[in-house]
Amino acid sequence: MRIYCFIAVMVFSLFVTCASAQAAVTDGENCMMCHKYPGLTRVNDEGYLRVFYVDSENYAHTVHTKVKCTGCHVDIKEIPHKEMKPVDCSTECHINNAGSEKPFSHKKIVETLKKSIHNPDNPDVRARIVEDFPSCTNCHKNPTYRFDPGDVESVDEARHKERVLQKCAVCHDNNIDYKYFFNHVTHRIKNLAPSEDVVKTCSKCHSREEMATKHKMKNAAATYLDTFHGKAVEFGMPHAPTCIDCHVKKGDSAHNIQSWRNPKSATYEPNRYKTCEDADCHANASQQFGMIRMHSVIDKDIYPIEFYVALGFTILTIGAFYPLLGLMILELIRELFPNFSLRRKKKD
Amino acid sequence: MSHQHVKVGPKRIIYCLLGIAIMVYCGYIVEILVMHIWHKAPHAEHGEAGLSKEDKLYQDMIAGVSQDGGHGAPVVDINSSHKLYDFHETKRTAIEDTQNLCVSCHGDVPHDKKKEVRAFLNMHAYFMACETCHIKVENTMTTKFVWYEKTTGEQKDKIDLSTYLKDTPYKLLPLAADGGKLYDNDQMVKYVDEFKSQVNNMAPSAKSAAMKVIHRPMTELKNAVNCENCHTPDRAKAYLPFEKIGYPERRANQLVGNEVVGMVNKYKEFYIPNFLKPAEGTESEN
Repeated sequence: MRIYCFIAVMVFSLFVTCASAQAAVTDGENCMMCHKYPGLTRVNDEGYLRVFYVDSENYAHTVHTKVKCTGCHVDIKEIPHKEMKPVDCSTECHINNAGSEKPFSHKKIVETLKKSIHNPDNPDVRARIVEDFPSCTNCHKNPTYRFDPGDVESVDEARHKERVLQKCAVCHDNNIDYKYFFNHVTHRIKNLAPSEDVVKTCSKCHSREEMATKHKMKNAAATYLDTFHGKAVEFGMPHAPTCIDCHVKKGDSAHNIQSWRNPKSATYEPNRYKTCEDADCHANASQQFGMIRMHSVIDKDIYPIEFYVALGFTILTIGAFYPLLGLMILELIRELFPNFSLRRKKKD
Repeated sequence: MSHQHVKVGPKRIIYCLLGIAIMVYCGYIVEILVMHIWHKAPHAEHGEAGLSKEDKLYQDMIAGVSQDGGHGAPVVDINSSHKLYDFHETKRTAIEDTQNLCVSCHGDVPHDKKKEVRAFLNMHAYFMACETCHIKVENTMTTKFVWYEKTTGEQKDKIDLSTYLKDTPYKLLPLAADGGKLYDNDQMVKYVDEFKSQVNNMAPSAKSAAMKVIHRPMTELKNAVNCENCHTPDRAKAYLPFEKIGYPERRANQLVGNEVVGMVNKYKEFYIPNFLKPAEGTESEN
């Protein structure tokens, strides 16, 4: 906690100084000569608007701020640009891995994704429809660093910001590099996305009935949203359990989600309780606890017992709860209008 | 026996109203918690009705589109950037032109045919009215150029041009020397309005004839103002009178400088011979 606070103080102190330093992103290739114009747009062959405008001010605060345009758009060699392939995130993008001279790339993550259930070649995949499987940009955008100056307001024994910078400058040159790494680290410390955003991202594909039918699955998003976990997200509970919390093994990458039939999966039935028993969730979960189905599927043919229980409760709700509620509301209305009567008053 | 009239105090009213509100809310909560298990389709909030414009576009994209479903669509909302291509999340809201008569049919992203240059042309269309290039006047020095506000139509002789036209709310428009409109005069506006209201019931020949009338004031495409007419190394010969329309010396020099002119020339070499001359009949007639 102390470390977190310390780093948060540093971020806060660097926030103002970084903003000006980073806004001046080097554009040695002069791409912004054209791409600074918001009107640089066209409609593609499918009728969708593509915007080629890049907001350099916003880009300067994103996690890719140190990457040159051609670091990702490697096909661009000349003006006018030729037809380009989609960006491949496993490309080595001209920046170095921290602490080494090796070029950086997301290759490792792409390799991990290839071994996951989100790869059509995975043996557990039921329908190998390549275009239905996600690429990096289906789930990821270019996020800005998550500064939250509010985090440091409660820290008492914080160094003065100038002392913080001074300490960094002892070893590092007073350039934007160490500020960049601080931003990077503190960005990673935080939960990257609120629960509802995680669910929304997965729902892009997993809430679609036709996709579920093609891949012989249930509508994972809808059946999740019917559970307590899903309801917690819907009601805006902070840190409510999302798809990632259950489908990603503790300490593993979110890119390595496996089928529930794979023994290595976080949702493999015999081991599922281990996922539930996280200290922040259900600390003493037993193996039986893990057998509770966390996607509520009401289907008479697959789960007849659950179906009839649900039917019984629904009948009870409609037949007893709502009439009772109605009576109580009528009672309160009577309290409001005690003298009201539909009968004609008798003349004395 | 006569009924006694009961008086209702303010406390009781408050308690009752509060009670009713709580009951209704309980009913709503139970409905969410219990009744949703019976849905066959996705929740309403995940159905089409609850989708944002962006999400709808995304779903359309994933679902695929028919061959003739989108290409050449006459009007594209300039703020409907597709999610799949929005990695950089521009977060800007483009100012839509509600004043220009051409835009009322062609939209804010009007150029869609010439693949090589359409994005550049649309970029210029963001701060230049269609008339600026598509009605080529004989002598720009005797023509009046004004900047009109895209949402109100308010005209100004000069705007701040010390930096590039980023999210500008203004567009450059040529007018006759006396300030008269070159295209969207009252008569044309009325004619276009009538055409738009009747176009679905018109015979093809009548439609074609009306389109000719509407586009008659436009210069033939092959003679329209092209890039090198303005971005020329000889500033004195530039079609647009940069100083007169408010460009400071430094910016005017940039527009005719090596960077821009060099790029135009590169395009010219690459797409020789006709890259800036849209082929006959290939421009959108919408």
